[in-house]
Amino acid sequence: MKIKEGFIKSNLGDECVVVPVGAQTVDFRGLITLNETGEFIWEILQNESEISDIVSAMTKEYDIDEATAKADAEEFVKILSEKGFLE
Amino acid sequence: MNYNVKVGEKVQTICVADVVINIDSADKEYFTRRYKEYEVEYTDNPDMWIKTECIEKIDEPKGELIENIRTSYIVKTEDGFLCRYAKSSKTGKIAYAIYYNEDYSNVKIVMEKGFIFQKLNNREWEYLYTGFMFANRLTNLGGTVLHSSGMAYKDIGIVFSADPGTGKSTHVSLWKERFQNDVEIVNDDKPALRIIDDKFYMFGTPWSGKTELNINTKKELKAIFFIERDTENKVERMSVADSVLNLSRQLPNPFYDKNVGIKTVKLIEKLYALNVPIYRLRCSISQDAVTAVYNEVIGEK
Repeated sequence: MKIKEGFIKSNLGDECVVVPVGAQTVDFRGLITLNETGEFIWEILQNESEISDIVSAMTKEYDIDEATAKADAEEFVKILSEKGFLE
Repeated sequence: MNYNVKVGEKVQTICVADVVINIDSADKEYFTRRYKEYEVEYTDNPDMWIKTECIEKIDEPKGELIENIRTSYIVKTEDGFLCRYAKSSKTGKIAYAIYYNEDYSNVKIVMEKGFIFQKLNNREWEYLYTGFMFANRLTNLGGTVLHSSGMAYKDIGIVFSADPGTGKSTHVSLWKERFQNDVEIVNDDKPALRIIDDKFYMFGTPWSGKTELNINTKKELKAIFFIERDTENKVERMSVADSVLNLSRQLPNPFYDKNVGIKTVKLIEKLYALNVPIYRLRCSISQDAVTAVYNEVIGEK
């Protein structure tokens, strides 16, 4: 899975937001805000990745155990999938 | 290739927000008058060419299909131009075709003569399409147009944005009523914004919506307000998320060109970098709302 084309991430001050562009604006006129972990996973999902890739990167980047990373990654991916951001 | 026109006979050269445009209108009588205030001397090297034609029958544009979004088709023509066109759901005929290059420096709009769509006629669509194409060109040049009512209090530029029907023009008319000649309505629908020497400026443009309330001027932009109707009058700085959400709804982000959307996001980043304050104005239709904005932007009176 990976993030569909047409979502642009922007860092403004301490905030990270994602805005739809082009054809994505037809179905989604909103905006996504990402916290630090969300932004980290978002970046990984710019390329084709599995949950295991995200978990592996998270346990290297953050001081968390594999079970916590997996739970966080699955929860975030579920939201992205439900909102139609993944392909 | 250039959708060039016969120099000197048809073309009107205008300068809008420092963008020089050679424009060849289909409805010449109407648009020559409407663009009059922006006229400049003809040049062979403008920043943009726009030609509009109304013809009896539009042939299906030939080329490689790039995208089909709802009723719109985008093809890449043999000469490297893009063409966006749409078919009437009633007749199946092509209602319009807009040819353009990637940076919108060269645009040709073709409409079916007598075309009525969403109750708007050829003239009204010519006005809208040329305005959209100008917005896309300006976005490619690092500026934008903001759906808002833009006014100047003396040399201070302020824009009031909102969805249609919220009362942005009404709010600006209250400023005019109170401050008379110290207030100018720069553009009542879509003022242009550009950065010059690290400052944002607001410009008048001839595309001002249903009214002809626009003037050919340039004022430094001091604040952006998003209006929400309320019973009380209150000004507050918007959070980053709310600002970006509101801006992205009121700035160009066309479904047919993601590059325009990407450049719009870059411009929002510049608004932040250059500290242009973005506010929420909760207001009634009253002079108290004007006072609330005046006190915030210009100073207590």
